[in-house]
Amino acid sequence: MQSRRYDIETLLDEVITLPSMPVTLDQITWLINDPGSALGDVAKVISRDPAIALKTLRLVNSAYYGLGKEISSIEQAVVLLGSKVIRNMVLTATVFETIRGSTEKLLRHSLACGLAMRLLVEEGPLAKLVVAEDEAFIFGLLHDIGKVFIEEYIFQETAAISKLIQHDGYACFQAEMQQIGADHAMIGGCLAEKWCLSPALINAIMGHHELDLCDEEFQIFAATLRIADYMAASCGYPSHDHGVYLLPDPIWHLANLDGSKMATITTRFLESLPSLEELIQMS
Amino acid sequence: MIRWKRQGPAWIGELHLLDGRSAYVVLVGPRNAHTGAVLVLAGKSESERKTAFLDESVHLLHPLQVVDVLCLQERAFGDKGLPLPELT
Repeated sequence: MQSRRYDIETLLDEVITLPSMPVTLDQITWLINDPGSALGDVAKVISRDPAIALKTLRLVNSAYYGLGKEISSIEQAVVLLGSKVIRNMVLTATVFETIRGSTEKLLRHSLACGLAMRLLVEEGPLAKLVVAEDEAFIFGLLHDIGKVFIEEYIFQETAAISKLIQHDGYACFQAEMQQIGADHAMIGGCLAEKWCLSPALINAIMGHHELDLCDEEFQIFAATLRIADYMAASCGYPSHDHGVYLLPDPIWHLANLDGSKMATITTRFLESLPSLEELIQMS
Repeated sequence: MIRWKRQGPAWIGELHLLDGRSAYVVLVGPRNAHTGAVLVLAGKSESERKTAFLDESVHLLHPLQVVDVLCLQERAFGDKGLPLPELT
């Protein structure tokens, strides 16, 4: 099959239509940044969007968040957790809506990557930085979002991409670059930018396969996300079949994680995997 | 990534330790069993070969190897229902 290479701007301007930030998320972000807004205003915005409100409530009550008591209203959830945590939950619910049409393989991989990223942030050097644990989960959940758009808009290229991976030993991002001229990390990073997500998240998604694609100050996020990606694949949930997972030493040096630390993190990660099934049901 | 082979119920992977020595990791039981994973350190002769339980020797392993070993151990012997790896 002949390769059809695009430049990234043509790809995003003319081929792939990245969705705008959903209205509910946009309004919550605006309210959080407005010092005059009240928690009740955030609750009202969420309650006006029944699909997101329902998913947010299910997330609040899931074993993953482990609050230990049942939360029955959005108002109660906002008061208990604060508007920033709720914003991350709404973002999670929004991503679930976006990726629910993708394959279960990708969904399972993204969720496992989110669980791993949360633990890497809790236990690793990133704990000292600004990322909250619930935001860390979103790094994993969103890291392969670009694949959803490749599957949806350039599906005619996916067979050729799979062939490069299975028969020619390409890593997935290399096969995408070869075939279409951009990879899922670039496309996902552009979506995160369009949704006005945090610079750390934009850069981590953009650079999780090639660190040079993100700003130096955020390379530790991208390196840690790459390790979370690897952990998800290693436990049996890769994003695609026959993939080559590259994890060179500079990634480990940047993430500053040694064997003993990884033993603790991987053990906790494997113990947390039962919550994956609940999250899949929820999505 | 560690390349694995099966020998009976055991999973065996060959690796190079951080100090440059060659070793085998032998998985025979679940992660929560102290004896579930053993590191066999190669020597010049059979009498120089040493063994150590994995949970006491993770400092000898590259962090990538630690992830590989623990994940495979869970997939092969754990109760989380993870998919078994395909041998290549």
